[in-house]
Parts: sequence; C-alpha cells; structure tokens
Amino acid sequence: MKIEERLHDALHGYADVIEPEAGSWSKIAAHFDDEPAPRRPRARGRALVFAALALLTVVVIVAALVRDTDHHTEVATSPRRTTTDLPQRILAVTDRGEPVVLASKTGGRDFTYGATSIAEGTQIAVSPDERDAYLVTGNGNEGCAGHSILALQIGSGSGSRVVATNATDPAVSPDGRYLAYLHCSPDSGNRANHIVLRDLTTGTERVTSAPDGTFFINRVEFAPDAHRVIFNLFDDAQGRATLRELNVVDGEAPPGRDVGPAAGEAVWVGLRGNTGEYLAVKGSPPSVLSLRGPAPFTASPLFTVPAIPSQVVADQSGRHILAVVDHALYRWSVGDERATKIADNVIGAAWIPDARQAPPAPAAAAPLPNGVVVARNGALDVLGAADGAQHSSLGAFPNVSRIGASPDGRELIYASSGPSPACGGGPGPTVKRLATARLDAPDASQLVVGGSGSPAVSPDGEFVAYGIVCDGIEPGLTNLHSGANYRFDPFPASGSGAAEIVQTEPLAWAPDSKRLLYRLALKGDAAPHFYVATLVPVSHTEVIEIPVGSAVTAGAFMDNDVLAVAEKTNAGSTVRTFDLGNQGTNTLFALPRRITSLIADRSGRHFLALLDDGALYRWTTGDPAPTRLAEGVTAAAWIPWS
Amino acid sequence: MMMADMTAAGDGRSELARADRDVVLTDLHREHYPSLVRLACLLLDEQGAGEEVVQEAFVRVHQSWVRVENPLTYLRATVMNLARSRMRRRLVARRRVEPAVRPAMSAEEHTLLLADQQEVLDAVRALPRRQRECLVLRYYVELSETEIASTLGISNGSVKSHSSRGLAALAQRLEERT
Repeated sequence: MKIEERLHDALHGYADVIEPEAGSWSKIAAHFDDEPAPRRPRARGRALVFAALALLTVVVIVAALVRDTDHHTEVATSPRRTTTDLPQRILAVTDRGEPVVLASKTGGRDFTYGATSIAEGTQIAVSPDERDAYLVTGNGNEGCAGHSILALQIGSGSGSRVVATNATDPAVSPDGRYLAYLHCSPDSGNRANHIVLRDLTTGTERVTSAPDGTFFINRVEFAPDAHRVIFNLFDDAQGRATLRELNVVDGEAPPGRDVGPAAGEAVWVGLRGNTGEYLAVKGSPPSVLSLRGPAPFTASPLFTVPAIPSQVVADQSGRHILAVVDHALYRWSVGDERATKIADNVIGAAWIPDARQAPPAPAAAAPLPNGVVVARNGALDVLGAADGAQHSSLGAFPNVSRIGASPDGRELIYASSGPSPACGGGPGPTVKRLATARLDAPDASQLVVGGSGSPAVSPDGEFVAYGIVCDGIEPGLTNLHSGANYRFDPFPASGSGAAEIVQTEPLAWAPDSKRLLYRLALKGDAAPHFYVATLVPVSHTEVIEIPVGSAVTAGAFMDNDVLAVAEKTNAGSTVRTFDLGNQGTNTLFALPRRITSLIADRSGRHFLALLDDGALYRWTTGDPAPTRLAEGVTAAAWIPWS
Repeated sequence: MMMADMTAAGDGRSELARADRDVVLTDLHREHYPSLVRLACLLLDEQGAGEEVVQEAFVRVHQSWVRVENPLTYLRATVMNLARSRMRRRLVARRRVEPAVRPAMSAEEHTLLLADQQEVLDAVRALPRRQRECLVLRYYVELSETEIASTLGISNGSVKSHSSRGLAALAQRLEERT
C-alpha cells in the first residue's frame, strides 16, 4: 500500500472514532458576546512577533498519545444511523438520453446502456436492492402525456416498459415493495393529477387522485417509513403549491397533510434521505437548503450551484447530494465547502445504494451446508442438513446450551449449563464455562476461565464472543488465536449510561466478521434491547441500537447489512429481514411456536430455527416453508461437512 | 427567511445581518463540530483538549464575525492556531513536570487498532509541526493545496514542500521500523 493510503487510513482510523461530547453548542453559545469585537488594525509587527514565537517553538513534538480509553463508549447515538459512506455509483442519463453508471468519486463512466431516449429532467428511481432503475422515456415537450416508465435492470441492462404512457416521476419505496408514479388523465393538459401505487410483488395498482380538476401533482417521493409519500400539490385556483404527505400504502384519503414550508419561501426538490429533512432551492445564486421541521421550518444552506438545478437527489444517509445543473452533474457531501462538478452532458442522476435491502437472490454459489450439529438428549449429534438424518454422534455432552462452530466446522465451542463455580469462588453469579470439542477427534477442553456464556464464533474463526458474568455483565471477546480476552461497553455513546445490564447475549456475527449482533436485558425494563457493534476495524467502530421491537426473540445476519429477526406473533413466530441501513423489512417464513435461536450459515441464505419446544427447522431462501429436522434439541450449529 | 451563503467570499460577508451569524454558526456547529474536534485531536492527541480548542474557536469566530470572509476556513484556521498555541503551552509545562504515564490502551483497542495504523500514527507524531499539520489537512481533512495554504497562512509552495518532506520522512521512518 502506498504511503499516502497508509497515512489516510491511519488518520481516519484514529480520528473517526472520536465522538465529541453532546451539548457542546450550549457551552459555546454561553460565551457569545452580542457585540462583535471592534476590528483591530492588522499589525505587521504582530505577524513578526508571531513568526518569532513560531521559530522558538520549532521543536520536535514527541507528544505522548493521550488517548481516551473509552472511545468505544463514545459512538453514534442515532437510532436511525445508516451507512454514511459515499455510495460508489451513480446512475446518470447523458444528454443523448443514454443511461450510464458513473463512479461517484470521479464521475468516470463505468458502464453505458443502449440509448433509450430518457426524458430530460425527469425523476430516476433506483430500487434499494440495486437491481432495478425506473426511468421516464419520451418527449419532454409533450409533458406527462408523452412519457412512459421504463424499468432497467442495472446488472444486465435489459429494459422493459412498466407503464405505457401518461406516466412520470417514479419512486420506489425504501423496502423495495412499491413503485409510486404520477399519472395524468387525458383531459388534464399534460399535468399529473393521480398518484399510482403499484405493488411490485403482486402487480396490483391503487390510484389516489388530486382533489378536483384544479389541483395537480408534481414530484412524488417515499418517506423513510415506506408507507407515506411526499408530493407537491399545486392549486391552480389559488396559484400556490403545498408540500403534502399522504399514507398511500394504507389508503389514506387525499389531499393528505400539509407538511411544507410556507409558499414562496423555497422550492422543494426532494427528501434528504431518511433524515426527515427536506431539500429545497432558493436564492441567487441558488442555494440548496436543508429544511428541518416541524413548521416553521429551519433552513440550513448546504451548498450553492451556478444555476437552478433540474434535479437534487440525496442518498439514504442524507449526507451525499447530487445536483444536475445546466447539463452538469455536481456532487456534495457533508463537510465539503462547495459542490464538485464531476461530469458534463448529464440530464438526470440518482444514487445507486450500496447496501442491499432485499433478501439475496437464489444463487448456486451458496449451497446448503452438509451438516448440522445438534445438542440433544445429553449428546452432540451430527445430522444431515437436508433431511435431519443422524450421521454420527460425538458422545455424551450434557447440558449444552449453545454451540459455535469454527469456519471449517471441525471444532465446536459450546456453553454448558452444568455445575459451575461462582465468580471469585464466593457467593454471586455462577460461571457458564466455554469449552471446545473436536468433531474429528475425541478431544475436549475448557476454553475460557471466567464468567461466560452464549458463545458466537466469528466466521473467520478469529474471535468468540460471549456474555461475561463476573466483574460486570457485558459482552466479552476472546481471540482464539492469541488467547487474549477483551470486553467492551455495549451501549451507544451516552445512550444508556445509567442502565444496569442483567444479561448479555451475543447472537451472531456478520459474514465479514466485523459486526456483532447481541441482546441485552436491562434492569427494570422487560423489553430486550438489540445492538450491533462494529468492532473491526477501529475506523468504523460504533454501536447502534437496532429498533426491531420488543417481540423479537432471536436474530442472525443475512449479509453484512441485513438481519433476519424472529418475532413472536399470536400464531407463533415470523422471521423477517431488517435492513440496518433503511430499516426496510420483508417477511421470510413463519413457524408455529416461539423461536429461541436463529442460526444463519455463512452465505446468509440457509437458516436453522430452534423453537422453544426443542424442534429444529431449516429454511433456505426461496423455500415455501421451513423443513423440520429434529426434536428435543437444545442447541445447534451449521457445519460445512458431515 | 434569509439564507446566509456559507461559501460566499468578499464584501458580501460583512453585510450579513448579525442574526445570520447565529444561523450560520449553528449550522457550522451541526455539520462540522465533530470533524473539527477530530482535526484538533490529531494535532493534540487528546479529546478533551480538542473539544476545548474547537469551542474556543467558535467563540472567536463569533467575536470576529465582521471580518470573517469564509466562516469554515476561518474556523479551521483558528482551530489550527489554538491547537498550536496549546501545544506550545504543553511543551513549556512538560519542562517542569514529569510526563504522565501513558495510559494503556483498552483491551478492545489493542484488538482493533491495526498495527500498521498505529505505526503510521507514531511516525506522524514525530514529524515537525508544520509537516504534521500539512499532512493532517491533506490526508484527513482532504483539503487542496490552496485550501491548506489559506488555512495555515503560508504559500502554496510551502504547502507542497512541507507535504512532500513530511511524506518522505514518514516513509523513511516506517521503512526503518520494518
């Protein structure tokens, strides 16, 4: 790696984990003096004195690094935290009507699709799973009546017309389920007066119409909850526009709630990701503003552009914004002093999200693991993953309550709830020991001396996470290579500083072996709390609380950004996805009882679900229903061979 | 609702109403306070001191509003100056007292901070102050040469020379260690 890259990584690795104390603004503002200080004449002598002082202090700075040892406790507090990295790709449309994929950093062209006559200045929607884009084709001069909506597969480039005519401004819901677009009646003078909601899973449509013949709609976007849409409603009779919000998914009646700034203050151009803020344009030269509600809105200028932009689009995090201005594409990110022009000859653009939301498509690259190891009837047995038939047994292993497997599946780490010593040898909590056992040799040994339980082995086999019970209850880690033990503060920064932990339970590692999902039980709070800690590398270390709801009983990672969570229902349990970025969710499968443990394989496509009655089920993405594998099971793990 | 243009330069700044000052400073605080603290921490190696420096910088920008042309640049330059000044005071203080024992890294930090990054950081800390400032502004804040020159009050040529010397020294130190 080049020295510049190493330096960049090291500086960010050190500094990016620093989260300043909240409430600093009040401290600063308390020192503000209302009267500005009189301007002092610039003294040349002052500069000379300063230079002399600077010379005196040119010494080698060997400053000991006084690092705050609690960096891991000072991390993001936002429960809506999303991936804030710059998305890598942009879907743009050239002035020849060609869709192209551009690199976000440089504007360099990655891919060009065939010319499809995309209309200028029209909205582009990209599905959250990065697979499809919805673009408007047709003659812009004919307005809505001349437009139709085209679905373009980003990967293959194949396109299909999804709405034949009289349609414009497509928007995809953050959960990927709905397509909303504007539709114009033949008698509406090429202006849109209907919002159409298409269920992309069933193909059914629902139409919401503007109140009467004098109201027209311009631009529609989904709110982060995937149920409400935000749109501009023009009242021709009054000559004014209002920004409105309507729950189209649940069938709320139009015209919806007025949520916009007062007329004439700024032109709404879009939502600022899932921040709850609105993007608007105002002034000369035009400023792109962020409007924070509720009304009266507070406006913050973000950046200026040389002319009124035809499009302004934020990514999910709201931190990265694209603006199309006079056939040029500008990019701005939080922290930038100005927008950067990254491409010319562009008439439309949208971010291609990096984080996948939907469950992964069936792929031959993720075959079903061969085996499953289960603890049942006081023994560890190896079963076939397809049918649950017993292949072998490791013999007696009483009271095993949880199993983690090494990446090759040959070594197991398990927690036993058998007779255990108390912490420090005296009264108090008792220790759940972790132990190892090999599947290919009669070898078992104790792994961790100290309070521990609920082992979760990282997919790369480097760490085992568990719950510490001695000297404080919190998550712990052991490096399986070096034997070193660690513990970390499990809460987001200052979020639950006073909360007393009753129980901590690591649930699963992400496939990249960097993120850990765990559950905490807090004193005086009946609801379980779920968190994801990004532990490696330090430059991205953070803890976020996952707002999955108190009915969730188990969880696992489908990929690095998407969880599968089991939720207790009246009929038993439902397993659904939960996107860590946009919190979108899809149902995967259901089981008739409470799920106590959900175990994903490394591909995130195959799941074991253990029920509270000891029944073990297997489910693979695409299966219509789970398959029952075994009964009387107290713990289970995937192994790649049998 | 009058909007202040944070990127505007020149005479326009002095005409901004005082009310705009608070709006702009509030927004600057919201958007840039954490990154400024991190910048100060890279220079001072201490979060508490970094926060104090940035808070003081905001107060100074508030006081000097009428002559501030580009608030963010002015703020960043003030942070650099205050950090430098704080470092000088710290060096004087160190002559009188024994340096404090460096706190051990927490266990998880040992695990997580890559060894390579730690080596690079140690090498950066050993660089002369100006070289260190140029490298931090270039590779952490990702400013251009012109912006660094403006922030540090030096010429573009000096920025180039400090940066290239700093990188060369860094590469040499790292090579020596390996």
